[in-house]
This record gives sequence, C-alpha cells and structure tokens, in this order.
Amino acid sequence: MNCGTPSPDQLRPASGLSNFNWNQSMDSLSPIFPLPASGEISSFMGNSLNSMHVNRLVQFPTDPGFAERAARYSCFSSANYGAFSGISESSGKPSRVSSSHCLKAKDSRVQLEMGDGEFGSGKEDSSVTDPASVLGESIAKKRKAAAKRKLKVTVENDLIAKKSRSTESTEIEKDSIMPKEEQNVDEKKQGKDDGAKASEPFKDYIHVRARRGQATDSHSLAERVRREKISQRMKLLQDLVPGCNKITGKALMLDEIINYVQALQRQVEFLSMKLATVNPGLDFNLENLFSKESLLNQENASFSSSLYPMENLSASINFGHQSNEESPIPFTLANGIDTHCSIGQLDSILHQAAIMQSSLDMFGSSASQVENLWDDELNTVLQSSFGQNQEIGAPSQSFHGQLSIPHMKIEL
Amino acid sequence: MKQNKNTSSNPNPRKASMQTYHFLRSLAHINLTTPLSALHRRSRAIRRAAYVSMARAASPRRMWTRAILGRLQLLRRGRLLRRQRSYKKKAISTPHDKLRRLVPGGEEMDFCRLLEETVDYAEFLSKQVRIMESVVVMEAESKKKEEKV
Repeated sequence: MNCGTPSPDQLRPASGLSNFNWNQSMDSLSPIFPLPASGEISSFMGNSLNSMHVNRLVQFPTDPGFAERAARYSCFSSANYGAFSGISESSGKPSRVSSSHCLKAKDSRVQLEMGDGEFGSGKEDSSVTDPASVLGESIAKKRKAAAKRKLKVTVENDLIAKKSRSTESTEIEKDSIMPKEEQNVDEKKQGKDDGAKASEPFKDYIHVRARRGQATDSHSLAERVRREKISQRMKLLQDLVPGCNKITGKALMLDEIINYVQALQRQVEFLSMKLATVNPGLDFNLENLFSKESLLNQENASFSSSLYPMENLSASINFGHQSNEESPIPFTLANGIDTHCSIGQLDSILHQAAIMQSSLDMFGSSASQVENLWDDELNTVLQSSFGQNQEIGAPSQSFHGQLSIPHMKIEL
Repeated sequence: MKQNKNTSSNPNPRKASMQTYHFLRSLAHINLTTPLSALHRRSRAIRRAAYVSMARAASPRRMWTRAILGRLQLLRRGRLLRRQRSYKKKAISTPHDKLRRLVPGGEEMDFCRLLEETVDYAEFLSKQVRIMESVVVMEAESKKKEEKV
C-alpha cells in the first residue's frame, strides 16, 4: 500500500473536477436523486473525512472490470454516485459519463491513490489490496463529506456484490455488512483528524449538505457527541427501569420511563397515606433500623457492631406510646442476626410488590406474605441464633431496654 | 449526626442507611407532633419527609435534590411559589416535558441533563419506596406480635 499522506492539494483539484461533473450530472439526474434526507448522515459525513469506510472498499473484489467502473464512478460527485449506482444497477453500465471528465478525474484519482492507500491499510485487515480497492478508496475519500455517503456505500456494496458474484460474492456481502457497523465507530476517530483538513474543499461542490441544514462540521460534531450522550443515558435508564430490554427507540423508552417515575411517585403517596394511619411505637424504630441495615447492606459482619448505635439511637429517640411489654420483643428480634437471608427474600418480595400497580388489596396480600415469611424464618432464627448472639450484645441490650423504659415513662 | 456505622468500605450502604435514618427520624417526629386525627395533614407531612430524606441522602450536586430542599425552605418560610408553575405548565408540548414535570427541578435543563437526573432520581425514589414498604411491614409485624402477646 502506498504510504503517502493525503494533502488537501491533491484533493482539491479532484473536488473541483468533481464539482463540475456533479453540477452537470445533477441536472440530468435530479429526478432520480436519492434522498436519504437524514441530518444524521450528513452530520457525521461532515465530520469524517474518510468516513466512507475505506475499509469497506478495501475488501471489494478484484474484478478487473470493476476498476474501470470504479474509475467511471469517480467522475461523479458523491450525491450523484448514489443516484448513479441506482441507475447503473438497472442499466448495467454507467454510460452517461463524459469521457473527458472521466479521464481528468482518473488522473486526480491516481494522485489520490497515494494518499488513500495509507488509510486503507491502517484500518482493518484488508484481504484485497489491488488497484481496484485503491481506486475504491480514492472514491471514498472524495465522497467523504457527502450527505449520502452511507447510502452510496451500501448501494455501491450491493452493486459491486452483484457485479462480482462470480468472483467473491459471498465474501463481499459479509464484509459489506461488517464495515457498515464499524463505520460509525471509525468515522468519529477519523473525522476528528481529517475533518478540518478536507472538509473545506468539499464544501463548495456538495450542495446537498447545505440543504440538509448542517452548517459547519463543528456543529455536527457537537451534535453527534450530544446524541451519543443521550443514547448512553437511555441505556442506563433501560437498565434501571424493569422490563425495558425489548423496547427500542427513544419515544417508547421515554414513555416507559415516565410511567415508571409516575408509578413510583404514586406509590410514595400511597405509602405515606398508609403510614399516616399506622400507630407507631418504640419497637418500630429499632426493628426498622435493624432491618434496613440488613436489607440494604446485606452484610453479616457489621450486625453486631451496628446493634450498639441502633440501640443508642432508639434510646435517644423518644416515643411515648407503647407499653413496656413491647420493649423486650424488639431486642429479641434484634438478636436474630442471621436474618439477612430472610430479609433478602423480604426485599425481593417487596421489590416485586413495588413494581406492581399499588392497590390496597395487592399490597395487603404481599405484606401478609412477607409477614408469614418473616414469622417462620424469624422463629427458627431466634431459636437457633439466640445462643449465638454475642454475650456482649445481650447484656447491653437488656441494659438498654431497661434504660429506655424509664425514658418512656418520663416522656409519658 | 448519628449514623448507623458499618464496617464495610462501600459508601452505598451508608447512603442507603442515611436515607433510612433521615426518614425514620422525621417519621418519629411527625408521629409525635401531628395527631392521628389530622390524617390528611399527616400523610402530607410524611410524603414531604420521604422526599426530603431522599434529597438529604443524595448528592447535593444534583438538580433535583437542590430543587426539593429549596422547596422545603420556601415552605418553611411560608412562601411557596405556586404562581410560576401555572404559567409554565402548558407552554411547549414536547415529548420531554412530561418528564420535566415529574422530576423536581427538571424545568430548566437540557434533555441530556434531564436523563441523568432522572436516573438518579428514579434510583432514590425506588429506594424510598422500599424503605417505606418495609416500615409498613414492620409495623404490621409488631402489631401482630402485640396481638399475640
């Protein structure tokens, strides 16, 4: 492969020629003009100089006739090329090329070859390294800023696949699919390098881009970055919202997200109403703290250490409404250190309940399920682990229990 | 400020327990101050407490936390600005504006930022829901025990 660097000088004459050709052929081909009409394409066309993935073209077949055809194709501008390929598919051969222009284009193309070669080699493992591919690269380079680059390449790929079926048809098709995917990835890398260099010369002759509304490359670059950010965030949200794996598309995803957030807010509202009706007690606090610890941390080691601060907390927070009989119970509950597994199940059940539409009955049923679970596990755990409970913990708990009782009495 | 200490180095448990802690504390306070008779007021207060505890546990760099805490301050001073919302409500109908209205503080953010905030907000919201649910469960549990005894 050639290892020259593409200079804008080499590209400019080509662009000038192709400009003329483009205008000429534009008139003739205007009705057939394929319009991808997507700002996106033009945006990253604008960015990348060699977005026409040279790689893709590198893998084109070694059909000798293809070289000629490629030469002819290169005479036309990028926009035209797409149209042309469409036409040529049907007609079989592009016969509208003015030979003189074509020759000139060929010369310029040859100059481009030097520079283009390196791009092709740099990218992927190209199986084909013949003049046809080099020509293809040169074509690619010229077309890079065109709005319909993507379309063109796909059409080109198809076209070439059809034409060279005898030689390497299947290979090409496979390859054409693959490079397309990589185009997006590579475009950006290249675009940043060369976008500034070769975009300006092309601006003149590619009127398509202006029509699409893409003012400058920096804008489209920024837009592309922003769009990628948004898609990234959408993916994050997809992971967060349950059951959104199958949904593709921003609008539907957005609806799902909105529904999810609305459902959560409604649940908070509903639960706050429910909590308002419940009569709280001292034990309530301790149990909750304890369960929350285990629920959210799911760690066994910290239980014993966390018992102390919890008890301190409960002692400091003064509820005044419960009877004294309640106080020993929470502490025995607290002794159930080994409940983290049960709490994990509790958590999962609660989570499922959270996802479901909150209705009183549903919640009641799930809560009762949870309670049953709790009861069984708790009983077994209490019996088994009461002895396991650290001795330091037990006396302190009882002490705290006694401490809190007088507190309560005082408060009342 | 007392917190439930964990021996783990993972910051998330601390944050989650912070949320729990805040919520339970404010719940306790509410239970003390507001009588059971004023149910509506109580439920409103609990709802507010839920959001505030969420905001307190989350990073203050977030827009939604600032919005919630700002709302709380305004409420405290008795000057809740409801007027602004009525102006803006039906201004522009974009696909995003529903989400903007849902997420607190989401009115003046570009879409990119809004999505970020939504991720964070939804996370904390789901945590809060879990906390509240388990509180309710515990309550029922303790009541059951009480009845047994």
